[in-house]
Amino acid sequence: MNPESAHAFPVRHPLIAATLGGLGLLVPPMGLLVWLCGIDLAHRPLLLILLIWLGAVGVIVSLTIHRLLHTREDLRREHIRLGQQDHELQAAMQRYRQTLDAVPAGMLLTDADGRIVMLNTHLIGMFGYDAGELHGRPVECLLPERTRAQHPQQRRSFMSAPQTRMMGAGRDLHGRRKDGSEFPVEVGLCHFSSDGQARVLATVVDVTLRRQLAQAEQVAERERFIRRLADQLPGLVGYWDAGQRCRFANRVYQEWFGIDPDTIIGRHSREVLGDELYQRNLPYIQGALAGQPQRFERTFTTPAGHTLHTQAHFIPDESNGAVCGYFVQVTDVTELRRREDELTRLKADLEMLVEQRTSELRQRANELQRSNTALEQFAYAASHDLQEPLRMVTSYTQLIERRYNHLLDDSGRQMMHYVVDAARRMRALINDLLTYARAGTSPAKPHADMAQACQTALALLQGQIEREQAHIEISGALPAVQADQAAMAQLWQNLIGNALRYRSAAAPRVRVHVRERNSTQATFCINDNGIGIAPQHQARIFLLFQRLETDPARRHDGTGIGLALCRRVVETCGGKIWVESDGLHGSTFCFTLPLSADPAADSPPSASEA
Amino acid sequence: MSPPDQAQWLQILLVEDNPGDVMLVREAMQDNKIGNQLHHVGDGEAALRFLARQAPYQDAPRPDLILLDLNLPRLDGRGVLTAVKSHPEWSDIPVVIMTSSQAETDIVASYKLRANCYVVKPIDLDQFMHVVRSIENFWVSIVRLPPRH
Repeated sequence: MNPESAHAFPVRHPLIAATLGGLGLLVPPMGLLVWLCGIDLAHRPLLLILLIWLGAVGVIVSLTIHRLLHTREDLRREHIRLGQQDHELQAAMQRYRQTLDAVPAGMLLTDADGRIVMLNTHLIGMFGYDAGELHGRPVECLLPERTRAQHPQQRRSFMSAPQTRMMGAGRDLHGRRKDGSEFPVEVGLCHFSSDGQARVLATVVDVTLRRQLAQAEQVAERERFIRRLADQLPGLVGYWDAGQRCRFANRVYQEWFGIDPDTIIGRHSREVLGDELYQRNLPYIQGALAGQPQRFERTFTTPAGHTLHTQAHFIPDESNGAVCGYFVQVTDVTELRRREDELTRLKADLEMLVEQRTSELRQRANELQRSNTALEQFAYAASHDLQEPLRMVTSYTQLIERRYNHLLDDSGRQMMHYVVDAARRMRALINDLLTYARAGTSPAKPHADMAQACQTALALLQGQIEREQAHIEISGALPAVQADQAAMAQLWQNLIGNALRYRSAAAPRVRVHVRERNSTQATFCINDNGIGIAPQHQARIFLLFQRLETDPARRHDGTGIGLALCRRVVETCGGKIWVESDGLHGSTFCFTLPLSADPAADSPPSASEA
Repeated sequence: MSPPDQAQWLQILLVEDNPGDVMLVREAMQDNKIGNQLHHVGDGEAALRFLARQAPYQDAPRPDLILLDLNLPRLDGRGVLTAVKSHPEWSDIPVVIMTSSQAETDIVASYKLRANCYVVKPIDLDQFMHVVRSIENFWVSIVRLPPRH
């Protein structure tokens, strides 16, 4: 409020007012003087009028003075009040400024055009300006040049739909100081009107420190992680600088060297390893520091007295061509070594065992060879030495029979017959045994023509076939097999011979055929209409010297070797032999044999009848 | 057919250790009525001495035919065969192997050692006799032998 506006009264000076008041006060005494002087006022109208005028003036002046005095008091009071108000206002302004300056953030107020109308000292300091320098300047001067151009547009878009924006609302903002340097900020915006003017209040916080702290925390967290990782690793992990001082060491250093990882940093290799181990490792340390990766094995004893076998890697840490240190990674291979040793020992044991077994096998092979030789010698001896006396028995009994028959009676002749017959049977037995013994010793041949083998057998049996008036039928082709040709002829001869020998009352009918055939083997069958073999005897007939016949006439025919020989021949070639019979209606002998690899070996069907 | 002059008789050396077989061979040959003279030795060494006319065979004739068993004491038939066939004066004497062995190895080995033939002694008496006579007939009547030295 303007103090001059209070002087509405016309008296411009108190002296004039006092003069006028004094004149007024002169009226009563002058009236009295007039009366005392006996001046008849009624005859003196001018004096009366003067006195009345004077009196009136005096009254007016007094009233005026009174009023004036009142007004003056009011004015004084008003002045005091105004002074108080002004003081309060100043104080409020001061408080307001102090408050603004006390806010721990930069604050600035702009008008609708983005000009700075007001700002606090924090902001001025933050941006490195002097007080008053920023007043009236566009707010863009506080932005980095790269974001400056688009800011007016952003500002206008904010003004068109103003919304209070909280601090740190996800923007990565930067401020630009007067010296051109930049720093990360967070800005909050709010919009309001003041005296009809649009205003924008911006709150700016420098987050440099916060960012740094966050980064430092990240780094610390990373380091904690790396340490945790290194500590969990099952071996020594460390880093030693070019001066051989420790820069990093995991927990295992404590186990192996008894040194707390927290106090190891900065200590020298020699101190940690001890003199002896240090001297041993020195060539590798020097190698690593010369830029050569080192790999070596090391055995040492821990403070706890454990002997460790380790495998160490020293990896040079090179940057810009200079080695600034080396990484150390040492693995405990004690267990591995132990297993290796055990493996070596086991291998040696195994080799010894194999050698032992081989020698045993060799010995066995030699024994077998010897026994084989012995068998061959036996076969030879049997064929010669046994037959030789047998031949003598036979020949001379015949000679006696012939030459001295007239000296013998019937009983003598019967006895002679028994001798001759026994010798003949013994010879058959020896021959069959020999064949049987030889059957297992000759290895299977790759190819035997079965049709031809069968024909050979039939030719050998021709006399018997005719005698028995047998009908032999070979139906279908007989494939070639992997066997010995002579052995196959023997096989057919024995099986077909059996079919003829164990005939029933009817004329023998024998049918030879292939029942089944796949890519690797064939099943051959010889079916007859003979006396058959009861199921309970069927397994036994393939054993040596097992005979079923009880008929004395037939007993003389067989040696009990024929089917055992068949089985031996078939099994030597990798086949199987069996008989199928109900014991009443003939038998079917079947055997399997591996087929010959030569596919052109199948013989055309042929039939032989007798 | 009368027997030829005794000087022309065929001289046969039988090398056989089994007296039974010797007797059978003699029996067979006696019945055959072919003029021959059978000499017998019981082992391989004796056979070689006979050929070399060493004691007690100083007067032994040179055989025209040798019947040789394989299994013999001292020196066996193979040894005798080898010696005969590698001897400059005896190698042309025909050697008939007469044995009870049917072993293929014996047969093959004998022919390799240049035996002139290989005969297995038959079991049957009649067959035995027949074989011996056949051998005799073959070598006496059919075959032309080298002239005597």
